[in-house]
Amino acid sequence: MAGSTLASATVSAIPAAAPRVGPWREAWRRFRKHRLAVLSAVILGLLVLAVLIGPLVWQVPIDEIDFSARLQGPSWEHPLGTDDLGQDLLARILYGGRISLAVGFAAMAVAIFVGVLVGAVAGMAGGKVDTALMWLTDLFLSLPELPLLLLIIYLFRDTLTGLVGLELGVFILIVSVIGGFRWMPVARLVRAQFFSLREKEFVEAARALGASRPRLVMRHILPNALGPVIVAASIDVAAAIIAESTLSFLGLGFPPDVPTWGRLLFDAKDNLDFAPHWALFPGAAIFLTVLSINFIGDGLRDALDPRRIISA
Amino acid sequence: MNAVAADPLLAIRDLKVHFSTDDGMVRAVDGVNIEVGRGETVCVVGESGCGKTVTAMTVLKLIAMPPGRIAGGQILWQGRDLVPLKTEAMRSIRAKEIAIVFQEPMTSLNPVYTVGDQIAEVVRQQEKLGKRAAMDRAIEMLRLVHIPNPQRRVHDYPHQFSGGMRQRVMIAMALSCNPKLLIADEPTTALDVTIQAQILDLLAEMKERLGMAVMLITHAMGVVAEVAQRVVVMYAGKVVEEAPVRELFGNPRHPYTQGLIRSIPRLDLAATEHHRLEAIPGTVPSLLNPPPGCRFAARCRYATDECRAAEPPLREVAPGHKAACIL
Repeated sequence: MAGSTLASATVSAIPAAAPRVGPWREAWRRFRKHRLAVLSAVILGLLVLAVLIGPLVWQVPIDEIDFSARLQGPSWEHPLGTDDLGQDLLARILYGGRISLAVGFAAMAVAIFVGVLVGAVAGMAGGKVDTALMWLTDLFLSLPELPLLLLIIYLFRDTLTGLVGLELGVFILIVSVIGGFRWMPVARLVRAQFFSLREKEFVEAARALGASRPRLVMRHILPNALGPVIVAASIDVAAAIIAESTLSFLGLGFPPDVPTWGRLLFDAKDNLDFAPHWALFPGAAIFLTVLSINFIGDGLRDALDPRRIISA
Repeated sequence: MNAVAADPLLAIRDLKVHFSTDDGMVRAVDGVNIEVGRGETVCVVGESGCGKTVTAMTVLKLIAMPPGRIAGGQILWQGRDLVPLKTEAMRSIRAKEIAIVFQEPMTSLNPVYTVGDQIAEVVRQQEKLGKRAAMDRAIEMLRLVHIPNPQRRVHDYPHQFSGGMRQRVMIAMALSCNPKLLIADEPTTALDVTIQAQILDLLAEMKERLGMAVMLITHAMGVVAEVAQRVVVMYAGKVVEEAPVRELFGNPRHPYTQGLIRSIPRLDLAATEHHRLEAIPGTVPSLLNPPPGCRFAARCRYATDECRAAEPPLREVAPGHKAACIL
């Protein structure tokens, strides 16, 4: 039979394929071929590691004021220099990075979760439910974000901090407002994907062979819709870090003594002329984080799509 | 030959499927009767838009409801009516009792899972098998449909298979839970001719081995001649003729069937003389407001006023041979 000879020839042409490779191992193998993504993962890993164990190694207090060492450039004593109160910038960046990264990832998780949920329900249900959910999405999109953020934080900060403490309270509040204002594009993306995917023959075929509705969504539709969502997620982390900076800048983020990366930038902006290092280092930290997350997102998307052939 | 026993496996009785559209009600299937006996191969033929696929999809209740609606009739599966069944109950029928293979093998498999995963998924949810056992079944099924090197191919993704191979995978998937009836909805239309023959052979072989019945939907009379035992000809949502395959080709009674048979390309004639391929003039009438009388009358060369006045009933013209024509 002509067909079978052809197929077996194809098989023998790729003898390198391991007999049994799990989907995650396969994805990892593909991810590794994406050099920029691997490099980015290493950089992000180092950044995360640094902010986690850095403050334990570099045990300089973040709020020790020393006027004799104001606005100093990098030196052995202060590797990244000092600010206008003589506080050590390395210690502040390491400590602040914890919060900035945590806010970035948590807000992304909130945005993606809400977005995927709303988009999936709208895309699957269609009809009136879809219309209502899309109204809601448009409503959120048309709200003036910043004034509303200010209002929400102003209204709820005290109640929440009274309940769970100042830092955790502000963290929860900031994560939910940033996440709560970033899910709309994700929802639209997922909805559009669902609309096209649910009409696909393979979904129909799975249904014809007895797959239930939740199973169709979770196994057949969602994984195929994930590519753009991953890219959106990587952009969201970056956007959330920057949004947190904005809030800090307006004095509505964390208290001024918490040196998040955005806060450091804000404090540094008046001294750019004579102490550029002050803004440079936190800026570089944000830049590196955002860039590496975006590359990782690219790599993940390619690695999770088995159709894409990645050349080494 | 005549396998319509007293107790057919599947009996579609006076089935009516309507779709509501902006322009009104489309009667896609309008009083169709089809029976499929155990182990029998029944072909449903007719040109595009005559209701074949809708009939097949309705058996498994896969049509979109709304806008679709089963407006009347029964679908008796081993004596039990499927029409009133809820979704949950239908799910246990799908794949386990009645399985379906679609036309488009290129897009009928989920691109993000290996073919083994997809076959195993069907087996696991329908037969509650474990992971390993389901995967073993997947390999066994791939071997059954003659996919070379199944132990390795089971871990390949759909895009690594050719169209014909994918259709084999689809058939393996459909047969993985040992259904009693396989509905094949134009399974060879998207494939090239040599592969078509292979897939038809495979279906025939599977039917022999597994003892299931096959309901093959097609528009190709050549396919019908090759595999069918009994043929049902549909036109504009109705059955116009039904007969054992030899009887149908030897003695077609309905002008539409005659037209279909004449429109089969004949290679032997085409090469030697200027023989024009005959086509049936016109197109299928709108099912929105079907004309009174015989629906084929407008395209029929024998049509009389009588045809246009009242619809001819499906009547037995010879043993096992029914036709809806007054001639």
